[in-house]
Amino acid sequence: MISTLAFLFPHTALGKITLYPLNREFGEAWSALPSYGDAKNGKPRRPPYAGLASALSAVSGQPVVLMPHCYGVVDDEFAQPAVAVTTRPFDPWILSTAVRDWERCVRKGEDANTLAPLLTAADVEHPNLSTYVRGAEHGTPHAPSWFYRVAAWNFAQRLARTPLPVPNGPRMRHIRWRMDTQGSLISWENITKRTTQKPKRSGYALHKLDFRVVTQPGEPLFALHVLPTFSRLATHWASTRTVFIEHSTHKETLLRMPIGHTKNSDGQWVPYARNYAAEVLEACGMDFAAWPTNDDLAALKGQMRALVPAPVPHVLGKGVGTRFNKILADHINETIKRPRIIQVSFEPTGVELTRPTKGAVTRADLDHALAATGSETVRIIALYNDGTTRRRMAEALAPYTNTPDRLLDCGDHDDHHLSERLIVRFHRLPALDRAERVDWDDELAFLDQFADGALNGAWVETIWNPKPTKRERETGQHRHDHKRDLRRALYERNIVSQFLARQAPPEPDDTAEAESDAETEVPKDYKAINALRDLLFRLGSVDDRLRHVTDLTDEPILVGIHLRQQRISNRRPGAADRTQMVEILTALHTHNDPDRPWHMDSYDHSTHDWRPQAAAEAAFGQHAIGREGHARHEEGALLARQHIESALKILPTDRPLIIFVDTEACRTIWPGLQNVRFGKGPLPGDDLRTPTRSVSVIAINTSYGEVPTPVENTASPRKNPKRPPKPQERLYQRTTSTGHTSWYIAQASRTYDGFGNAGSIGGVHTRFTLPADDWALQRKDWHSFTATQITVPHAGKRDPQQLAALAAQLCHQSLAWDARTRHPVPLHVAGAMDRAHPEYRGPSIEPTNAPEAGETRDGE
Amino acid sequence: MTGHLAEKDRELDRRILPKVIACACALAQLHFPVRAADGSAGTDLERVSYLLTGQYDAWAEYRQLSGEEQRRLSRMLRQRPNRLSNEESLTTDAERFLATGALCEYVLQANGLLAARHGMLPQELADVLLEEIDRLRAEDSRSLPEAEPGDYVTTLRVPVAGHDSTWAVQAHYSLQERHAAPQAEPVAVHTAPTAGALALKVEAFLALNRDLDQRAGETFRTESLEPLFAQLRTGDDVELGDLLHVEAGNLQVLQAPTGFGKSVLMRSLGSWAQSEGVTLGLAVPTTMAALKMAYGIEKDLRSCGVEHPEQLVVPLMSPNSMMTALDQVAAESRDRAFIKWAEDRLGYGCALPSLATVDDEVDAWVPGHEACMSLIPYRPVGAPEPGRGSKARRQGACACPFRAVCGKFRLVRQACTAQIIVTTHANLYQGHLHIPVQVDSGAIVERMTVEELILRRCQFTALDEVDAFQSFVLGRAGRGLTLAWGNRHDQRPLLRLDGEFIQAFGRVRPALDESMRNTLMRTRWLAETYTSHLAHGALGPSDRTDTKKKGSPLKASGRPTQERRWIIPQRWDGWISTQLRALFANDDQQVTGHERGFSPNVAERGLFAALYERKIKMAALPEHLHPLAELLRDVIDPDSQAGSLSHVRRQLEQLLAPWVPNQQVRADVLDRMLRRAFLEPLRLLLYRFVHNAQQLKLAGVETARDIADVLGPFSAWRAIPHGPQGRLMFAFTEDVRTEVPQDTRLSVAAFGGDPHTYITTLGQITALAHSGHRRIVLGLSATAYAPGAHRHHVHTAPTWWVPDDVDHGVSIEADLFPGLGEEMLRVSGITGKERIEATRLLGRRMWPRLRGELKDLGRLSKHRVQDSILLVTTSYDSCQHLRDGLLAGGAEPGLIAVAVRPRPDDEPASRHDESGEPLWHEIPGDQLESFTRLPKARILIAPLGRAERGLNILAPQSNKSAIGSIWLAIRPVPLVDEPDELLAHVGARALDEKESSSEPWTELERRHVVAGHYFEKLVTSERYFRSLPPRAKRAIAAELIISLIQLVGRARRGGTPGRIKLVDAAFLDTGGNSDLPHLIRELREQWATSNELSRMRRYYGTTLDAFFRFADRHARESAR
Repeated sequence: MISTLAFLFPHTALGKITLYPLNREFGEAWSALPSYGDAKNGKPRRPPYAGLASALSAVSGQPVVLMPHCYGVVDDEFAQPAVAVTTRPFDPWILSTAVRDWERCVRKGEDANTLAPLLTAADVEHPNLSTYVRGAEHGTPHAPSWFYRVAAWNFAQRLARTPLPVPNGPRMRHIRWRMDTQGSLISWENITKRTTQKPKRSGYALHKLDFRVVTQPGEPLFALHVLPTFSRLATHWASTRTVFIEHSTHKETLLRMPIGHTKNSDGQWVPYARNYAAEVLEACGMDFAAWPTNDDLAALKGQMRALVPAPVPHVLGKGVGTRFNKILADHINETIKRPRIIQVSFEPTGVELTRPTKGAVTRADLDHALAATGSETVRIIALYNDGTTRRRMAEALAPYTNTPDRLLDCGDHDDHHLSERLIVRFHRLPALDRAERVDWDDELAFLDQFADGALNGAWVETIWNPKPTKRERETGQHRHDHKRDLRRALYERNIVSQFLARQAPPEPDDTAEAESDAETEVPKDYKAINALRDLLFRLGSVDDRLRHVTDLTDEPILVGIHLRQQRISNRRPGAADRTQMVEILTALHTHNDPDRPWHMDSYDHSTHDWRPQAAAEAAFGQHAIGREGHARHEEGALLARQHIESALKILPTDRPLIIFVDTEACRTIWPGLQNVRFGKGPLPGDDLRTPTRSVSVIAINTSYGEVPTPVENTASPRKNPKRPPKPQERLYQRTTSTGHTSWYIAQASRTYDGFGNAGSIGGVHTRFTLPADDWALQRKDWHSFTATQITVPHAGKRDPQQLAALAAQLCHQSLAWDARTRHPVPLHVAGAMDRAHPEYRGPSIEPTNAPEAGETRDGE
Repeated sequence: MTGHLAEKDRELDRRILPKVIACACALAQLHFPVRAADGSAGTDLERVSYLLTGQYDAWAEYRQLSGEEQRRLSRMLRQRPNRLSNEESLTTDAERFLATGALCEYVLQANGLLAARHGMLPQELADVLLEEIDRLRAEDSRSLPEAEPGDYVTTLRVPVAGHDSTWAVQAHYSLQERHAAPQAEPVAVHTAPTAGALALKVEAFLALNRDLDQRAGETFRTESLEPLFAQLRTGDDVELGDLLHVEAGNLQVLQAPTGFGKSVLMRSLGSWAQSEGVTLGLAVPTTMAALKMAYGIEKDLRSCGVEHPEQLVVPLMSPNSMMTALDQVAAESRDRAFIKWAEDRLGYGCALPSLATVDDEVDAWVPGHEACMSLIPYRPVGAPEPGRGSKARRQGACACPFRAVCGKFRLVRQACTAQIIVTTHANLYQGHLHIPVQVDSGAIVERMTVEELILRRCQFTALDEVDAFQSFVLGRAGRGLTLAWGNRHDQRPLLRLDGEFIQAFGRVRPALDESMRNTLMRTRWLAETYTSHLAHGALGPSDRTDTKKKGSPLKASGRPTQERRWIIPQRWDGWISTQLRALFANDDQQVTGHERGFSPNVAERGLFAALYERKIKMAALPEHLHPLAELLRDVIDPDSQAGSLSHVRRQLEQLLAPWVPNQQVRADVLDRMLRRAFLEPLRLLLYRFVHNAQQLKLAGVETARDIADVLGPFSAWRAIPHGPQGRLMFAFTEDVRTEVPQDTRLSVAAFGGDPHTYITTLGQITALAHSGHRRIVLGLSATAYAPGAHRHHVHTAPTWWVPDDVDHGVSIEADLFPGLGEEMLRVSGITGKERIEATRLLGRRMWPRLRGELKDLGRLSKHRVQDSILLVTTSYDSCQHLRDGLLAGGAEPGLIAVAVRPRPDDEPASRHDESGEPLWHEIPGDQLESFTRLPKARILIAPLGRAERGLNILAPQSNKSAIGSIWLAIRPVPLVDEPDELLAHVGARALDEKESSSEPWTELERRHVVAGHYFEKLVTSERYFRSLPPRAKRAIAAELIISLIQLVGRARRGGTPGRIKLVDAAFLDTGGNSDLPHLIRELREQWATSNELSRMRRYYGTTLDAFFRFADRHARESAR
């Protein structure tokens, strides 16, 4: 059994809240507010409700939610338009003063005072939160949207009353928690600090517990997920966005304020509290805490602490470790006794996950696997400009030759047959080393000579190129990173590519040592081997490993639907608000005939057809990554859905389908994936089902906030009494009281598993109690166990558990990796395509030619 | 009708007209008596006018009138020229006749009352007058003179090789004595006796069919008719029983789903009629169908041992299209016997070419274009004018002397005596006999209409696809014409006319030549100048009362803003003269700063009209109006010094400023005044084409005919010539697209009539008028009843019907394809180049899907049953574009057959690539049934109009459909702008709450108001589908449903399932609530509230349910 950091609690445990019902006039008054430009150089926009809520939080020291819609539940016709929710009633004077002053600020000094009278006139109510819950009896509890944010407050307050005891050798260290105005718990007094000498830096971090109220499929009770984070603190104001303030007026609660930055009269960037929090506090006769200087921050002085704004290099690592999770879970179970809360846990099923094949495709299987690409021959074009890299490539290719022990030896600019199907061709490309931008179209013109119909893939050397620092950028010293342009240029030639980062040549004495000691195994060049393996996988080679671990008799097509919303970034005005939807569909065609390898197709938007994997990836890479106008919600969702369904219709109709979707990405598009309409609303492939054709849908959820975090495998015997045992390679399941089953697989990360003591240090210690000798390990990321939750919204006449097992097995036995992938193969491949796109999470490339012209070329 | 005959007719009309009005007065006095102040009996003009409209369906007591009374009314109608159906025309004429004493039977009293001064019973007076009129007509009647020996010329239009256009050449004929016409009496057309009701004995009828089946060794009659009669219901779901009673009078409808043997029934009616001794008329949609029907009946009769069946059955068609029909039979049919039969019936040779000398080296015989009635006596240039009187008859055109014996008129002659006449919808409605015939009264009629012939001769008439017939009639009753269109050369009849007129130089009579040249140049000048002003914005679109928001979402989606508006030139006369009241009175006390309420004053209106009228001398106008009048006349004077329109506008502006101080009102006044300055003269000029069309045609200027056709389809007599609007509508459309000035267009349209009522009352009012008897008229269709469908809903409930409750597995699904942008591909709603590109792209996108579909169909099908795809679009052009797209998408060569516009001589052809593989096949649109003969072809692309009806694409050697699924690629959205659509919408709207009253003129007034408002609403709405009035949108949706029900019938032939896929994303575009699912749901509600839903469900059962399922399935999506 696997216990998790999620707890089901009875509705009676939800407690009471303080609620100000607001009427329609409030909504109208709000709409009459002027556009609001507090972000200084930002675009003026209508004030968000969160703005006032944040200001009210500041003056009251309480969490506040101001919600525009749905006082009641969504389908309640007596719904009131708006509501303000907090923990304790506001002081009426403070409330009216704060709201009035906030409005004055928004109105740029005009004292219209339209909101405060309406808000203060509201009759305060103290309802039980449970009265807002609907549908629990059917296993589909739902409540107004504000409910989910509010429901955790009472729990957090209650938990904060008892310090967390952390065993520290024979003694206990007690960690005191303070709630912030967002309802998180902060270990304000218990700071983790680490100092490095070279360079001389100090870093601080605190533990933060976030709470999320979520539903589980078919579960009548809400689940509270506890999400512990190791929050690292900024030592400089630059770019920070969130600050915690220990405010003199509110000892109990920490103010958590969004901040912005503005230039003061001296031209210095200084932070300010957004939403006029400082002005409002002042108007209510409270002092706003003084802003610490950058030096204060670096020394952790003053009443404010800021969170680091983004993933940055820090002397402290991330994550709290599995041992902390275990202690926390036990503590919660101990503390919250009445009414009883239930820790969510998963039972093992009889399904064991196996991985008979690891690593790259073997030489014996090579031609068979390459047959899956749909091409007679496959050519790897190795582009390099460094002798070492060439040698590394040749070494990695050696296992595919007749003489796997010897280095592959062949000349440049010529095809070299490795096997019947596989050709390799080396080509030196000096432009790879150029520091400035290169016209790759021109440089790669030689690629146009291949007219033999072989499928080409490029293996390209690259100079590893981290993001340039500001100084490098300004002085122009930084080398241009070619990967993006080059990948694009190769895609334009219908070539998929894989990069291999250049390494320094081995030291001469290393070589000597290796030669002298021939007995010891030469260390494997995993980077090159993995790169080659990934290239083969991009080309669409599929060997029989998947067939061996699955049992599919009716030759279904396994479809993956990968969706991701990405912001359009092309530095045009207004672009910041526009998003695009990345839609990638893959289809793994299974066969019973052992002579036919399974093969992978992907959907190509430009031709509206499914094409072999490599061709589809190249076509995908040639165009904008996503579709503008497609989105997760409303019109955009309908468009995305229509588009995907029209693509699914092209798949051969004489095969059953098994569709894998990512729950989080897809559920607004197909409401049948949502827990509240589970299996009842629209699902992908609804149109394709016929009396003779089965279409199953499997939803894969990997969301950190939604899938309960595994704490330990309680069934396993403990080797080390401290270290929580890790989950087994097995499918787990949980059946709710309404008889609804969902499945679960959990694992320790490779880092946790593979790097000895350092990787799993979080299993034996907490950040608070790490022995001083090991203190340097604070720099590591302390991994927790992770999990994937599998649900089956529509089994399509199959056994749901078998479907879940299939999904789990297709995660466990990946196409070309030694370990598990987070998603089953079809989804994983789709994700890999997404990540390889030149625009992936990056700036949008302006189209240079009309899309129509590009398409015509496809057609030819 | 030639010039001098027409002149004689006009003269005759002058004598007859007062008598007709007097007769109407007498009948009004009889049926709607009003007592005059002095106590004498009488009536009033309102009532007289009502009787002349022919709209007796509004008259509650009409049905109770005796046959004699009804006949009298219709006889009066028959003599009434269409014009008199308009109240205004009637009043003008009646008052004139009353004043001059031409109408002496009544006197007009002060209060508008007509007091009788005839001293007879009104019905006696009416009868006397009718007799008198008949006598006048009979005395005056004569046929076109036959050409006597001598020299004649005519102009032939011969086709130019490789071109669509034709070239005019002059042919000379020398007729010798031996060519003189044989002396023969005209063929007599005897009116068949009345047959009030007939009973078709079901048992006997089925026995007859079994017998026929046995004799022919066939089974299809029994197989389809037995289930048909077994399931036939009457009224509210009552089984038919043993007898099928058909009654003379209003239309009776038999509705049965496609594939239930309606055509078989019609064919067997032939044998039945023969055995019962009933004269039968059958009207089917196409010429081919008519030929096949006639052939089938003849075969049946022969197998029954009837003697000379070929004399009993005749396929009646226009003699001019017989050769074309023969070609088509030869191209399409594989039945040798049938081809032989058709050759015997349709083939003929023309004797004239052998007598002809032609200027150029061309073949003087263009089949169908013989000079049968256009031989013009040749008079060498400079020859003296023939003396008046002596050879007067040789002045006009003469008929060919061989007319009485020519094979071309064989069928027409036969039709006058045959027992069973099979004809086409088109011929029934607008055809006429090309030979003179003699009617019972002894009068010789030169151009008797087919309608009259059928109703005179046939006691029983069956109309196949009666709803399509109605739609056809609508199409003929409203027509339009482009006058000027930006920088285009094509589709501009005026330009073509110009060209032909130049070709005809020297052949046109000098007087006509001169006047025609003036008319033509002036028309072009006005139209093009006006269009140019529009394009340059000099005539602002100011009619828009509500200023529309610019930059609406429509614009964002890349569609150029389009302004398309109807302009009725005189519509604003009253309004403008009201606004100018102060100016006219020259009284600045009356100036007001506001818009005046509309209160027209006849004198002011007259004055206003006179401002423009060049014929009215300036001196006749009040002096203070001279500058205004000068400006208005200068605007359209090509020689004027006044120059540009903007200059005139400025001057007018100054002139009017003190009188109309409100700037907005002034701008409107100005704009409307300027528009009128152009359009009103233009309107009058256009009528000259109508008058001169015949003459021009003789000279080879055929385009004049096209123009005349648009404006003059109303010259043929109709029982109900004017619809609810009470008059002919004549309107201009201006089409301005802001971003593309070169697309600016000015067109003109004329529409009128009441096709909906025409159809339902054909056997009653019209038949009585033609023959004096009510006739049995039976309509058959699968979709005759669909309330809301403005074109196809026949306004009478089916008398018999077959429920569509067999689940054939009809399914309707949306199957969309992604476009280049974010949205799914839509074609409907975009125009021009973008539309072409979208259609091509759609083809490309569709290929992968169709490839899979073909594979699926192929897997399930045996012997080519349902293994093919029918891809339906909206036009022949889009068929080509889709084909291009499919091929570009990778469709294999030879797989696609595409319909092309049918042209004579075309046979199915293939386009080949270099290697000789056919890339695709082309099939003329009228020969689509030959699709299954192409061995490899699996996708047929055809326009909806061709595909939806009467098309049986059967798998070889079976009666099962070869079509497995039907894909509707482009949402058809009929343009409400088209005059026929407008007419259909307005006409159907007026009948919505129709009722009858004992004061029927009030009901007509109500219809008039309803129709007027709806017309106004339609023409002032924006030109997008989504902004149409909800009723119009529903109507279009209902039409689409009808279309689809018909279309799915193509796949259901032989009981196979019908699957329809809607491809165009416009079907589901929820913008403006005009998506098809929404409209279907609205229709369902509408039907439910009007208690028609249950009836609809009974008639269309499973098919309709499929639509509702589709609508409900997509309800969620649009609601989200």
